[in-house]
Amino acid sequence: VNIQIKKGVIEVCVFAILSKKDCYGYELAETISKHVKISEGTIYPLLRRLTKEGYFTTYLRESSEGPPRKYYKMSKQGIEYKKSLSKDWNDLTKGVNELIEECEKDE
Amino acid sequence: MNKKEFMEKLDKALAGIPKDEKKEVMRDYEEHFSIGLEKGRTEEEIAKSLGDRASLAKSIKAEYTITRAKREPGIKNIFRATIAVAGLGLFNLIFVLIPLIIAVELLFAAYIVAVVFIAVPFLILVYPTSVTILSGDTPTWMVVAGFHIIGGILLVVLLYITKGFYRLILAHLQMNVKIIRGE
Repeated sequence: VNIQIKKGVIEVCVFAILSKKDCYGYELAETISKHVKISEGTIYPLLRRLTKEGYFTTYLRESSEGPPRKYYKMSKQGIEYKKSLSKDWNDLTKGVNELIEECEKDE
Repeated sequence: MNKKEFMEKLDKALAGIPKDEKKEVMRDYEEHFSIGLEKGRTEEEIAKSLGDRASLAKSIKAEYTITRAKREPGIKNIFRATIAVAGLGLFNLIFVLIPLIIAVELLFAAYIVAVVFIAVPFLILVYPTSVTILSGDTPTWMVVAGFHIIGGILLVVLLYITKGFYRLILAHLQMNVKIIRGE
Protein backbone atom coordinates (compact mmCIF):
# COMPACT_ATOMS: atom_id res chain seq x y z
CA VAL A 1 0.00 0.00 0.00
CA ASN A 2 1.14 3.54 -0.74
CA ILE A 3 3.05 4.84 2.30
CA GLN A 4 1.24 8.19 2.49
CA ILE A 5 -2.18 6.54 2.49
CA LYS A 6 -1.01 4.12 5.12
CA LYS A 7 0.14 6.82 7.54
CA GLY A 8 -3.30 8.40 7.56
CA VAL A 9 -4.93 5.02 7.96
CA ILE A 10 -2.80 4.13 10.99
CA GLU A 11 -4.00 7.28 12.72
CA VAL A 12 -7.64 6.33 12.10
CA CYS A 13 -6.94 2.82 13.44
CA VAL A 14 -5.22 4.12 16.59
CA PHE A 15 -8.18 6.36 17.42
CA ALA A 16 -10.63 3.54 16.79
CA ILE A 17 -8.79 1.13 19.09
CA LEU A 18 -8.16 3.62 21.89
CA SER A 19 -11.79 4.70 21.93
CA LYS A 20 -12.59 1.18 23.11
CA LYS A 21 -9.84 0.68 25.68
CA ASP A 22 -6.44 1.92 26.87
CA CYS A 23 -3.57 0.16 25.15
CA TYR A 24 0.21 0.02 25.15
CA GLY A 25 2.22 0.60 21.98
CA TYR A 26 2.91 -3.02 21.19
CA GLU A 27 -0.73 -3.92 21.57
CA LEU A 28 -1.73 -1.18 19.14
CA ALA A 29 0.88 -2.24 16.59
CA GLU A 30 -0.18 -5.87 16.92
CA THR A 31 -3.89 -5.14 16.58
CA ILE A 32 -3.40 -2.94 13.53
CA SER A 33 -1.01 -5.44 11.94
CA LYS A 34 -3.76 -8.07 12.01
CA HIS A 35 -5.76 -5.96 9.58
CA VAL A 36 -3.30 -3.70 7.78
CA LYS A 37 0.32 -4.33 6.87
CA ILE A 38 2.42 -1.66 8.63
CA SER A 39 5.94 -0.92 9.82
CA GLU A 40 5.34 -1.25 13.54
CA GLY A 41 7.96 1.37 14.38
CA THR A 42 5.95 4.17 12.82
CA ILE A 43 3.34 3.85 15.54
CA TYR A 44 5.61 5.41 18.19
CA PRO A 45 6.34 8.77 16.52
CA LEU A 46 2.62 8.98 15.79
CA LEU A 47 1.69 8.27 19.42
CA ARG A 48 4.24 10.83 20.63
CA ARG A 49 2.86 13.52 18.37
CA LEU A 50 -0.79 12.85 19.21
CA THR A 51 0.08 12.80 22.92
CA LYS A 52 1.91 16.14 22.60
CA GLU A 53 -1.08 17.56 20.78
CA GLY A 54 -3.25 16.59 23.73
CA TYR A 55 -5.33 13.79 22.22
CA PHE A 56 -3.89 11.12 24.51
CA THR A 57 -2.46 10.91 27.99
CA THR A 58 -0.07 8.17 29.12
CA TYR A 59 0.48 6.19 32.29
CA LEU A 60 2.75 3.33 33.27
CA ARG A 61 1.36 0.07 34.55
CA GLU A 62 3.33 -2.89 35.88
CA SER A 63 2.99 -6.10 33.94
CA SER A 64 3.23 -9.59 35.39
CA GLU A 65 5.97 -10.33 32.87
CA GLY A 66 8.78 -7.91 32.09
CA PRO A 67 9.06 -4.11 32.55
CA PRO A 68 6.12 -1.72 33.09
CA ARG A 69 4.14 -0.80 30.00
CA LYS A 70 3.20 2.66 28.81
CA TYR A 71 -0.53 2.85 28.28
CA TYR A 72 -2.22 5.43 26.08
CA LYS A 73 -5.55 6.84 27.13
CA MET A 74 -7.77 9.05 25.04
CA SER A 75 -8.41 12.55 26.44
CA LYS A 76 -11.64 14.50 26.08
CA GLN A 77 -10.11 16.32 23.15
CA GLY A 78 -9.19 12.95 21.66
CA ILE A 79 -12.75 11.68 21.93
CA GLU A 80 -14.01 14.75 20.08
CA TYR A 81 -11.36 14.39 17.41
CA LYS A 82 -12.14 10.69 17.01
CA LYS A 83 -15.74 11.56 16.13
CA SER A 84 -14.78 13.93 13.36
CA LEU A 85 -12.02 11.62 12.16
CA SER A 86 -14.40 8.66 11.89
CA LYS A 87 -16.88 10.77 9.99
CA ASP A 88 -14.19 12.04 7.60
CA TRP A 89 -13.02 8.49 7.08
CA ASN A 90 -16.51 7.15 6.36
CA ASP A 91 -17.26 10.00 3.95
CA LEU A 92 -13.95 9.46 2.22
CA THR A 93 -14.22 5.70 1.78
CA LYS A 94 -17.87 5.95 0.77
CA GLY A 95 -17.05 8.57 -1.86
CA VAL A 96 -14.08 6.67 -3.25
CA ASN A 97 -16.00 3.37 -3.36
CA GLU A 98 -18.89 5.03 -5.19
CA LEU A 99 -16.50 6.53 -7.68
CA ILE A 100 -14.73 3.22 -8.30
CA GLU A 101 -18.07 1.43 -8.72
CA GLU A 102 -19.30 4.02 -11.21
CA CYS A 103 -16.11 3.82 -13.23
CA GLU A 104 -16.21 0.04 -13.33
CA LYS A 105 -19.81 0.08 -14.49
CA ASP A 106 -18.85 2.27 -17.44
CA GLU A 107 -16.26 -0.19 -18.66
CA MET B 1 19.85 -6.85 12.91
CA ASN B 2 19.38 -7.67 16.60
CA LYS B 3 18.04 -5.48 19.37
CA LYS B 4 21.41 -4.09 20.39
CA GLU B 5 22.22 -3.06 16.84
CA PHE B 6 18.80 -1.49 16.32
CA MET B 7 18.99 0.51 19.54
CA GLU B 8 22.55 1.64 18.88
CA LYS B 9 21.72 2.82 15.40
CA LEU B 10 18.58 4.59 16.56
CA ASP B 11 20.56 6.23 19.35
CA LYS B 12 23.12 7.49 16.86
CA ALA B 13 20.47 8.69 14.43
CA LEU B 14 18.78 10.66 17.20
CA ALA B 15 21.90 12.71 17.95
CA GLY B 16 21.00 16.33 18.60
CA ILE B 17 17.72 15.90 20.42
CA PRO B 18 17.89 16.42 24.19
CA LYS B 19 18.65 13.55 26.54
CA ASP B 20 15.22 13.37 28.18
CA GLU B 21 13.43 13.28 24.87
CA LYS B 22 15.78 10.65 23.52
CA LYS B 23 15.49 8.52 26.65
CA GLU B 24 11.73 8.54 26.26
CA VAL B 25 11.92 7.47 22.61
CA MET B 26 14.44 4.73 23.35
CA ARG B 27 12.27 3.54 26.23
CA ASP B 28 9.32 3.04 23.89
CA TYR B 29 11.32 0.83 21.53
CA GLU B 30 12.93 -0.98 24.45
CA GLU B 31 9.44 -1.84 25.70
CA HIS B 32 8.42 -2.98 22.23
CA PHE B 33 11.36 -5.38 22.07
CA SER B 34 10.77 -6.84 25.52
CA ILE B 35 7.08 -7.49 24.88
CA GLY B 36 7.87 -8.99 21.48
CA LEU B 37 10.41 -11.32 23.07
CA GLU B 38 7.85 -12.39 25.70
CA LYS B 39 5.52 -13.29 22.88
CA GLY B 40 8.15 -15.56 21.41
CA ARG B 41 9.41 -13.48 18.52
CA THR B 42 13.13 -13.19 17.86
CA GLU B 43 15.03 -9.91 18.10
CA GLU B 44 15.63 -9.98 14.37
CA GLU B 45 11.94 -10.38 13.60
CA ILE B 46 11.03 -7.48 15.85
CA ALA B 47 13.74 -5.19 14.46
CA LYS B 48 12.55 -5.96 10.94
CA SER B 49 8.90 -5.31 11.73
CA LEU B 50 9.77 -1.96 13.31
CA GLY B 51 10.93 -0.71 9.93
CA ASP B 52 13.66 1.61 8.81
CA ARG B 53 15.13 3.35 11.86
CA ALA B 54 16.85 6.09 9.84
CA SER B 55 13.52 7.43 8.59
CA LEU B 56 12.01 6.92 12.04
CA ALA B 57 14.76 9.01 13.59
CA LYS B 58 14.37 11.72 10.97
CA SER B 59 10.69 12.20 11.59
CA ILE B 60 11.20 12.18 15.37
CA LYS B 61 13.89 14.85 15.01
CA ALA B 62 11.91 17.09 12.68
CA GLU B 63 8.93 16.85 15.01
CA TYR B 64 11.08 17.87 17.95
CA THR B 65 12.84 20.83 16.35
CA ILE B 66 9.55 22.40 15.25
CA THR B 67 8.08 22.03 18.72
CA ARG B 68 11.12 23.75 20.12
CA ALA B 69 11.07 26.61 17.59
CA LYS B 70 7.49 27.25 18.65
CA ARG B 71 8.30 27.18 22.33
CA GLU B 72 11.54 29.15 22.15
CA PRO B 73 11.31 31.55 19.20
CA GLY B 74 14.61 32.53 17.67
CA ILE B 75 16.48 32.55 14.43
CA LYS B 76 18.73 29.68 15.54
CA ASN B 77 15.81 27.39 16.28
CA ILE B 78 14.05 28.31 13.06
CA PHE B 79 17.16 27.37 11.08
CA ARG B 80 17.48 24.11 12.99
CA ALA B 81 13.87 23.24 12.25
CA THR B 82 14.30 24.14 8.59
CA ILE B 83 17.32 21.92 8.24
CA ALA B 84 15.66 19.05 10.07
CA VAL B 85 12.60 19.25 7.84
CA ALA B 86 14.78 19.50 4.75
CA GLY B 87 16.52 16.37 6.02
CA LEU B 88 13.30 14.44 5.54
CA GLY B 89 14.15 14.79 1.90
CA LEU B 90 10.68 15.06 0.45
CA PHE B 91 11.08 18.53 -0.90
CA ASN B 92 14.06 20.37 -2.18
CA LEU B 93 16.30 22.16 0.26
CA ILE B 94 16.54 25.05 -2.22
CA PHE B 95 12.84 25.78 -1.93
CA VAL B 96 13.01 26.26 1.80
CA LEU B 97 16.45 27.29 2.87
CA ILE B 98 17.30 29.78 0.09
CA PRO B 99 14.09 31.85 0.41
CA LEU B 100 14.58 31.84 4.17
CA ILE B 101 18.14 33.16 3.85
CA ILE B 102 17.10 35.86 1.35
CA ALA B 103 14.20 36.96 3.52
CA VAL B 104 16.41 37.13 6.61
CA GLU B 105 18.97 39.20 4.70
CA LEU B 106 16.34 41.63 3.44
CA LEU B 107 14.92 42.03 6.92
CA PHE B 108 18.39 42.61 8.31
CA ALA B 109 19.13 45.30 5.70
CA ALA B 110 15.82 47.03 6.46
CA TYR B 111 16.62 47.02 10.17
CA ILE B 112 19.96 48.70 9.47
CA VAL B 113 18.21 51.41 7.42
CA ALA B 114 15.73 51.99 10.24
CA VAL B 115 18.45 52.25 12.86
CA VAL B 116 20.49 54.68 10.71
CA PHE B 117 17.41 56.88 10.15
CA ILE B 118 16.69 56.96 13.86
CA ALA B 119 20.32 57.84 14.53
CA VAL B 120 20.32 60.85 12.14
CA PRO B 121 20.00 63.46 14.94
CA PHE B 122 23.07 61.96 16.60
CA LEU B 123 24.97 61.56 13.35
CA ILE B 124 24.50 65.21 12.59
CA LEU B 125 26.37 66.08 15.75
CA VAL B 126 29.34 64.16 14.42
CA TYR B 127 29.03 65.25 10.77
CA PRO B 128 27.27 68.65 10.82
CA THR B 129 27.54 69.19 7.03
CA SER B 130 26.01 65.88 5.85
CA VAL B 131 22.38 66.98 6.11
CA THR B 132 22.78 70.43 4.60
CA ILE B 133 23.54 68.72 1.29
CA LEU B 134 20.20 66.89 1.40
CA SER B 135 17.98 69.56 2.89
CA GLY B 136 18.21 72.34 0.26
CA ASP B 137 15.63 74.98 1.24
CA THR B 138 13.94 72.98 4.02
CA PRO B 139 15.21 73.82 7.49
CA THR B 140 17.75 71.29 8.69
CA TRP B 141 15.91 70.45 11.90
CA MET B 142 12.87 69.38 9.86
CA VAL B 143 14.87 67.00 7.73
CA VAL B 144 16.55 65.56 10.79
CA ALA B 145 13.25 65.11 12.62
CA GLY B 146 11.71 63.59 9.50
CA PHE B 147 14.41 60.96 9.23
CA HIS B 148 14.10 60.20 12.92
CA ILE B 149 10.33 59.71 12.77
CA ILE B 150 10.37 57.69 9.55
CA GLY B 151 13.06 55.46 11.06
CA GLY B 152 10.91 54.90 14.12
CA ILE B 153 7.85 53.99 12.06
CA LEU B 154 9.94 51.68 9.89
CA LEU B 155 11.27 49.91 12.97
CA VAL B 156 7.76 49.27 14.34
CA VAL B 157 6.58 47.99 10.96
CA LEU B 158 9.61 45.73 10.71
CA LEU B 159 8.93 44.24 14.13
CA TYR B 160 5.43 43.31 12.98
CA ILE B 161 6.71 41.87 9.72
CA THR B 162 9.30 39.81 11.58
CA LYS B 163 6.65 38.35 13.86
CA GLY B 164 4.36 37.47 10.99
CA PHE B 165 7.25 36.11 9.00
CA TYR B 166 8.24 33.85 11.87
CA ARG B 167 4.78 32.37 12.13
CA LEU B 168 4.61 31.93 8.38
CA ILE B 169 7.85 29.95 8.31
CA LEU B 170 6.71 27.73 11.19
CA ALA B 171 3.37 27.08 9.50
CA HIS B 172 5.20 26.27 6.28
CA LEU B 173 7.50 23.82 8.03
CA GLN B 174 4.61 22.16 9.79
CA MET B 175 2.75 21.83 6.54
CA ASN B 176 5.77 20.09 5.04
CA VAL B 177 5.99 17.68 7.95
CA LYS B 178 2.30 16.97 7.55
CA ILE B 179 2.74 16.25 3.85
CA ILE B 180 5.54 13.87 4.70
CA ARG B 181 3.38 12.18 7.31
CA GLY B 182 0.70 11.97 4.68
CA GLU B 183 -2.09 13.94 6.28
